[in-house]
Amino acid sequence: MGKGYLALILHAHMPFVRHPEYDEYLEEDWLFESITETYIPLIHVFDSLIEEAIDFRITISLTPPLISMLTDALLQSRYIRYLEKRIELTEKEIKRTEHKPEFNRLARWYYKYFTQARYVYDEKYQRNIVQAFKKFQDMGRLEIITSAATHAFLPLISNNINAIRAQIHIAVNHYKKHFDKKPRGIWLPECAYDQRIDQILKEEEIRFFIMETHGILFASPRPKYGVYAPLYCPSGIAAFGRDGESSKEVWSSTEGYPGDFSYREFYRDIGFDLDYHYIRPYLHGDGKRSNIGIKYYRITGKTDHKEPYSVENALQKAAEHAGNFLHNREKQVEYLAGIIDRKPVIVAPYDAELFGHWWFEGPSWIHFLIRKIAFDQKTISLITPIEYLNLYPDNQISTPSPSSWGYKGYNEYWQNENNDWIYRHLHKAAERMVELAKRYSYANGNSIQNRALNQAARELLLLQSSDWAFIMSTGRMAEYAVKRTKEHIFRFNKLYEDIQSNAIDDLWLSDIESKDTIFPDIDYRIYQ
Amino acid sequence: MMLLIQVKFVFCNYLKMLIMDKTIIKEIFLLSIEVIKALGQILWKKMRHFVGFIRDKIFRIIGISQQKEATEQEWGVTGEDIWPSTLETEHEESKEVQQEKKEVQPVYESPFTSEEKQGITDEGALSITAEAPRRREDIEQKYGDGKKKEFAPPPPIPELPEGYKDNRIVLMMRDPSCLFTYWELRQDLIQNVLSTLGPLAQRITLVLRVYIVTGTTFTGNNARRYFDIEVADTTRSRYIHGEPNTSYCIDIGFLSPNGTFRILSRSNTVQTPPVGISEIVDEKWMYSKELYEEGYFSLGPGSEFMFKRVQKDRHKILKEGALSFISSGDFVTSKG
Repeated sequence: MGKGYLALILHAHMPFVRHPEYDEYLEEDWLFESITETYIPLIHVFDSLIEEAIDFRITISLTPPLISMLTDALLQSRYIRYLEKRIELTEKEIKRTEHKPEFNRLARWYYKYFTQARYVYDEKYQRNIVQAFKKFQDMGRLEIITSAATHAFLPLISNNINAIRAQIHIAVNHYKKHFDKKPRGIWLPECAYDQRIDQILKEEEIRFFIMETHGILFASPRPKYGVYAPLYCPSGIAAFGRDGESSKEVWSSTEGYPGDFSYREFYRDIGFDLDYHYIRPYLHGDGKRSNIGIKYYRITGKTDHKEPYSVENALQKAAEHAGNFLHNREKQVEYLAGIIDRKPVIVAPYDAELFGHWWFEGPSWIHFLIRKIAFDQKTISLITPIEYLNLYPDNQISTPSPSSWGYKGYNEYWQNENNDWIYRHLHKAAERMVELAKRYSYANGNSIQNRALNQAARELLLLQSSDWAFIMSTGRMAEYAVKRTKEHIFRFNKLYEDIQSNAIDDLWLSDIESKDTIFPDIDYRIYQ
Repeated sequence: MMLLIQVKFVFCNYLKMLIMDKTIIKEIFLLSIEVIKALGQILWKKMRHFVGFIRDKIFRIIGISQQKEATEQEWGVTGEDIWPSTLETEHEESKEVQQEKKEVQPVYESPFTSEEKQGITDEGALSITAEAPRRREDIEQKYGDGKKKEFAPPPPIPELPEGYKDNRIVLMMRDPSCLFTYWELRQDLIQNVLSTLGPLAQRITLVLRVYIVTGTTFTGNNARRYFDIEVADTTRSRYIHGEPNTSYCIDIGFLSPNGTFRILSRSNTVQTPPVGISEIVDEKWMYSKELYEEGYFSLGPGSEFMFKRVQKDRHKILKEGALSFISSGDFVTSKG
């Protein structure tokens, strides 16, 4: 009999970026990089584990914008183009590195890496990798949870309860459409919680969400088990708190595993390293150097000098680190089991894109970890939050503290001098949307008015994505985030005015409908 | 043309002379051949240009290639990757991009008139994007949706509305020690209030009256205490220092020198979260003393940052809670 549980939770999200008005668009690469480096490798790990007949449990949140993009035909065909370009480049690379064996070996490895990605994406899953995740869920290995419709930072828009309700309801409907059942859990974007939110989750029959450590620690009354068991909010929804120790080992780029000198160096991409004229055909139209996804060096150390990467050595390190992580969790569970009167659950949530995109060996680390949990010990088992709730349905009732997992633990990263100007517009647009939904509650199904009202809802939702405020804070790419914010504000306000003056511009409406295609089945009446 | 006139002039003079010198005849012959050659070349160029023009008119080649070039150039405005890159590579990159941009410059900053520019633009477009677009088109044809796309320069980014003709103030919680408020005031209401103040209206100031309303339902006169913050007329938002586990409400209004406060708008009420563990203990769920007293909890990164902002050590916070939380920023007016 084991002594405790580990709940691995991966949060997969990308903002809705889709620009059919251009032949190609740099920001669409964010999605393509994540597919190649994170989602396909994870699918590969899960498929391998199933072939190896190893039982496992992982929870993953797939946000509605991510699912929408993964199932969009235009982006799918553009992703194939992205892969084709890389396959072509690796062919050139094999020739170029002919007389440098250590790089030639890597070039061949990358050729295989990209052709395999094409096989998994194009042939095996027919370009729809959401189906792959669904398959793992239907087999009982994966618990897919949802998130807010456009990953809105909910506490910063919660002064309008209809706006929160729409974010949750639309996400739940979207989930049902793709997974043929209701979601049982939700990833609150950025783990951002305030006390107005969980009542809405209750309306949608969601059973649990995840919080940052101090959201649970500062709950009132004082939580008996700290973060090692869930709390029930007064609404009855379970809140699971994040364990810090397991986070740090993986998250931290200095103390954590991803900083090991054997691992692949993220910052030495051939998009920056190779001769400009040679690499130019694989860069974007503006000719700016950017990541291609082929990197030949390992971290090596805190020097500018970098040694060539060795796949074998890196994998060996990943296996060692998986062993170390498991050992630490065993010790943790053994200690906790001694001081609390039930089996503790260690909740370890991570951004999915950390695995593969940032920490290239991350998916392999997960693979090793799951194998080791299955074969090397008996202290802990993998579990999903819902299984833990089924094991321990009786939990303490307590009100969690508002918090987030972002910088400084609250809202600051999304509300500071760089981005606070957005909130007056976000709030006003939500208020206007409610006003429209109430005033035009019976717009005829196929009428232009109905289309305009639905598009207004889409523009509002896209405007509310937490990604824009986040990018404005990071400073890099802030122009794109500002542009998106202003565009959605403009589109929403124009729709608001046109609907009221009964002067909807059909051509313009069709144009924005063809761009902001998220939630084709939306019904604006959710804002009533 | 000048050359032609000159040649004609010389030729006529020679004829007039009518001196049958062999060398002169030879020279005349050679000169006429040169003239015919030059004329032929000019004619050929004109014809080629004409044929090209007609072909382009029919297939609309000029229009598409020019627009496409413009689109690609515009990417530079937003074109960089979100994932961080090293400073050196950025530096390197900018040099190359600059170099490339230099080559393309005629497209945008040409001193020529639009008619003259047409020819140059075409050449520029061909020489710069000869490789990349061909590849892209090939692949697009193979895998794309097959539709021919029209490329227009991106529309300008729309400007934000200046206001919504509202009269309101909104209060938000940023963290346990920081509130954010933004407002919009209607000129007609301001004028109404000012007219009731008479001569005092000249000496009033716009203030935020911040009420501490913890544990009460605020009615306007039951606040535990309040403080005023003077704000400039042009300001539209502000950060305000607060304390954990406290409720706030704000009135914005005019304060006259005799202490009269005329409210323009009242905000919603917000409560800051507590920092520290709750003193309330549930008898049914007696907490695990060891768990808390040993300070066993390790914190997620968000919580780590949070604890760093508190002026007490972790053990004390877990046992006693914290009274203050250091928020960054100077609580100055924001850019809104």
